[in-house]
Amino acid sequence: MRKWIEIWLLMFLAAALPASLAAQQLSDEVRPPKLNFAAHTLANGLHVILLEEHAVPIVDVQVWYHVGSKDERPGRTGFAHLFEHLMFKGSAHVGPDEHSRIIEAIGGFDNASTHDDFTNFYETFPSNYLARVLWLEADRMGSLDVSEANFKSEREVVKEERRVRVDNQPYGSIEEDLRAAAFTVHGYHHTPIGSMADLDKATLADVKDFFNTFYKPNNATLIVVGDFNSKQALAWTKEYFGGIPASANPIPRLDNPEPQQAAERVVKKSYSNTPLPAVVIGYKVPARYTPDSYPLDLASNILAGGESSRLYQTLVYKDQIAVQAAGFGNFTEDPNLFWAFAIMNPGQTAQAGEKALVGVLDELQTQPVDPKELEKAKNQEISGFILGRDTDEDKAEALGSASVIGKDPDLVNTELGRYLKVTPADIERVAKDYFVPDHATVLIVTPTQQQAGQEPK
Amino acid sequence: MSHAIRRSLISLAAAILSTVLVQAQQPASSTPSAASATAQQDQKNGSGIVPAGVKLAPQMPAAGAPRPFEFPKAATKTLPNGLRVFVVTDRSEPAIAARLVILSAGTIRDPAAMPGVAAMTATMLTQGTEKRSARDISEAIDFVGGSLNASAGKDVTAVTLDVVKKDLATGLDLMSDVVLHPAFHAEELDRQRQQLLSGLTVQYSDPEFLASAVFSREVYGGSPYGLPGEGTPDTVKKLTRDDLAKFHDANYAPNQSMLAFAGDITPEEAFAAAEKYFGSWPKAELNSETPAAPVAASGVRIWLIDKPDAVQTQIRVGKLGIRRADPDFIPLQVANRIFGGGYNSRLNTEVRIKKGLTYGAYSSFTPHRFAGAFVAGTFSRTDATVEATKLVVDLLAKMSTGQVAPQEIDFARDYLAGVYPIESETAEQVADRVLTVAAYGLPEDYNTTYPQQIRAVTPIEVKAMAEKYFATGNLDIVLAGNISAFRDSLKKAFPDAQYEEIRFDRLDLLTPDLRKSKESGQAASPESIEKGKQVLLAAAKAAGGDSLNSVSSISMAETGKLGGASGTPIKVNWQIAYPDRSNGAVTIGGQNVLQVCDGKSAWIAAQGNTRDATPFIGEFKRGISLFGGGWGLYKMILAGTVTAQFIGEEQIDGRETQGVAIKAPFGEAKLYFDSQTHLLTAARYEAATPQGPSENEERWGAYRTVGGRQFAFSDAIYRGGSLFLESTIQDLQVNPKLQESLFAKPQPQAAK
Repeated sequence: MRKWIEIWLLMFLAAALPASLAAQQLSDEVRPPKLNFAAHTLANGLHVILLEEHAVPIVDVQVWYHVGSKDERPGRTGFAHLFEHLMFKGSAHVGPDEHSRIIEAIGGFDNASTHDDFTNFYETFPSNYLARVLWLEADRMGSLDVSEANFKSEREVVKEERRVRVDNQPYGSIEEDLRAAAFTVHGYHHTPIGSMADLDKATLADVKDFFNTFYKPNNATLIVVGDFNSKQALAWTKEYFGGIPASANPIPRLDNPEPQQAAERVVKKSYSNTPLPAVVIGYKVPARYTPDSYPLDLASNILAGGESSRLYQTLVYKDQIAVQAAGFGNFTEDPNLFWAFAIMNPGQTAQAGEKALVGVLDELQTQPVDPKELEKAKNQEISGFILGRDTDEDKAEALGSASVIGKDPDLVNTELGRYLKVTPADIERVAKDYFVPDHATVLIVTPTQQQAGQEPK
Repeated sequence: MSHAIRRSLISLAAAILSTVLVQAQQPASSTPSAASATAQQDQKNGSGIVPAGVKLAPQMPAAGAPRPFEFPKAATKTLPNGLRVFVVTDRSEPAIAARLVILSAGTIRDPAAMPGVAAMTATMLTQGTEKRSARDISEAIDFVGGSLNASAGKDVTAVTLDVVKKDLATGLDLMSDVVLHPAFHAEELDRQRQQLLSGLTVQYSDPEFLASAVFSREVYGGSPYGLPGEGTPDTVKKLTRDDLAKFHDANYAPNQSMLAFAGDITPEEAFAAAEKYFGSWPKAELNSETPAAPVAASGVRIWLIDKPDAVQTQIRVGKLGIRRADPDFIPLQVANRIFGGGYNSRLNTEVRIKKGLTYGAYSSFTPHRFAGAFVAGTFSRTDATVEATKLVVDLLAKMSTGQVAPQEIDFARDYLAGVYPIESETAEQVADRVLTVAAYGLPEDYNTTYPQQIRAVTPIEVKAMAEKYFATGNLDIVLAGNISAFRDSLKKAFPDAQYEEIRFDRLDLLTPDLRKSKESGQAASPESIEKGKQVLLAAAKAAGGDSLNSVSSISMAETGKLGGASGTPIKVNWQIAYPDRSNGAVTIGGQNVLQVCDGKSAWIAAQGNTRDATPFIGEFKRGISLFGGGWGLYKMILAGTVTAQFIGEEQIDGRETQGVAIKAPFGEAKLYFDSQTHLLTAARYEAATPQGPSENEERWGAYRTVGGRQFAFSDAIYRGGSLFLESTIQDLQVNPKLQESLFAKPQPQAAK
């Protein structure tokens, strides 16, 4: 109904997907079921994670390549994502777009997505086609072959994707603007969609180079979840992927750590398609799976988990200055940002929003969180672990993140325990450490003059 | 942040299909048997190039034996108060979803002229009950990590609860309380109203929303299915707690509702819980009128929604479709899958894969209870808008010939049948399907036999569907974007279409012509009157000021085309004597026509016949005053015979303008002056025509200096959004000596 709110949720909740299980005294009624996966590594370095789930005769296959937009060289932003599109444009034994056609012909879905740290390709399909899908993924890993014409045409598709997600979308530029100001060196400076100018500069030679550098079995993790026999699946995996050699050299990583931020940064932007003022504060926070990420994640539940949360209650319900207010941590492989944001009601200023956001965050530093409120935050985490793992695809995603970013697939079963150990003192401490002006980038978005104060009649 | 989902088909479709759960997406099914054949035939187009050192298996592996899928059985029971309960047990996760569907509370039940009541009623359920405050409710559901939401779709209102197993009682207690005893507190309504108004403010600047909302209105005509379910800013402002309480009383009842449980719960537990929490809900007799059926459009109608800052145009093409219970539903699923219902459909293959014009092109039938729509949609950069739109329409026309290859039919049937288990993976998905069958009165074995029904669709049926539903003779097309960049080429591509044009901030989804009514404009205030006067004086000054007073007549030759760029050439030699006399010698289509106004009467003479045109004298007088960008008007302004009111800034044809509503001796009009040059850019007025009144927009350009004064040498008139006349001026003479006989009325003659 309110689609623009969904956009925000899409942008933000994607980052906050948790993953894992409790070691504490949870009753069976609230215990997320253990994921009894098996992990293997082939001789060429390909990680393989298998999890049998036989309830429905379907399988989800995912291939995660450990390369994302943060690995892009300067002047080539958006390339990892453009490349992801090209992985559908043909290989030695599969024609352009045939991969998708084969998946659809067997009654399956397929898709792929590019993130800051990784790129994943996935399909869900009837379980009697597992061999075929593994073969398809192996063929493009071993022999991607894209024509110049398909490269150019797909680049236009990606530019349309940028227009629909960013340029033509109300508030579509916020993430770009915030990150560009918050990161001066690190690859998180830009978002996966990249810039139009850089997309135009990309060449087919770049495509080949990128493929030969990053799309190697020793940089990939294969996850299979669903209705199959593990022994058989492993045999097929070896048969189809085993002939693809590991890279001769280690996978290159950019050495570009973000220097410690010393002072608050403030950026002001004005757009014609953002009719209400908005403010986003990005605080530098540590990486995913690090100890401090857990109290920070619970803090985000306290700040924004439902209509009883502090930001909603203060900015939206009580003071009614904002139509939406939330806070969440974008926890990634390298340190990223904790977002606190508000979209203001007509007549309210972004500056008032900033002041209110900071006020609510300050309370976390000055008063210990009530144990009951912390329990609520933990309950939200527990149910997230249960409700967020309903499908084979959900489970495969959790395994992929734990394995590729966390370097330990068993995090899917142990991570909830880390949340449950957090104390009020932990939350107070991380709030004091991280929610400080010196680590903050403030983005103020105002409507252009033409739109100011207007509302549709 | 997953930025890069490769296809936007689903999200885009979701934005258009404003459904609540009972929308069968693309139901599909169990045993894929014939599936492998197609895929194997199609395959073998790879480059064959295997890099050195790499070993790959050249042969695509065969399929294994299909494993059986049985659509899960739902237990069902009807409570004494008429509430139908369904239970789908699945013990794989310790969680339970409960869904309450109120069949009689969709947005089509909104009171007349008040869209938004059903939606706000649903929103307000969780904002306070007789014994719980809004905060009590959110605190209770958040504490258990659950969610409780209510929203209204076109046909039904749905309330959904998700909780872990141990908190089911907490969740159901809340769910029952919000449905049975909502308080609709006025102060909570004010909060939600402001939230919604702010949300609408953002939506109305989103081309995707604009295109979809206008498309719905156009396709469904006056039917409630076409109205914006969330309301419009005007109706949202008017909502009262009484409206909501009345809607709740009139449309919420157990005998018009269904409750489904999905997850870790047995049927016995679920039936007992339903009785405990919803057993006291009293039965009621509800109004179950069938809404008026929408009337199909005739011809091709194109709406242009102008959003000058857009870099991409949202495109919708379609017409009325089918009801959910229509027997054509199953074969139409197959036909639509072929046309635009998937990544490898004809539509996406041509518009995205082959031409790179978009990130996604899709089509769908949205079948509701009493009516449905068909839409083919995409989006493309501004300069490719016409190409993309034309392609969509051409593909529709091709589909409507009914020529469909056997492989296409196999592909579509294999996909729809094969994907069915995937779309029935979770207990919630199963429960949704069970509710769909019950809500729309589909056959009881619908879900279990769906794959067989899909596989049984014949090529003859697909051909019939293609011919019946994809024809392009009657179409609604909506484009939301920067229309001045493609308007003219669009009109060349679709010369026979009827056009309507509106700026995004003038849109009112409730008025018959989608425009804000004139009365809703700003009331005159001393400030706006003063500002209007200032704008007019600045304009008069910029055009030449007092030197205009020395102009008493002009003559010129106007050449142009009537009916757009490919229209009929027209030439007029004008002689104008200010303030109100004109003589125009028109040459059009080899004919000569004289049209004259003497200030008191007007007439048209051709082939020796003279007809009185005095009823249209206002047209003559306005034309005289506005020639060349308004020299006649400025003379009136300087003489003080024009009253004005400033009506705001607006961007027209890419230029920032200041708008002024005027009353002049020739009538009323809205004039828009360039904010930089102060010269007249455009005028909007109601023109009198022999066919009745028509909304005109006239634009001036190509200003050049003539004896120290500014004169516009180009002129374009849009009538009802379409280019009506485009012309340029030659041979302008200032103060020529004009014979009085030019304006002398000939003696009446008998017609021959």
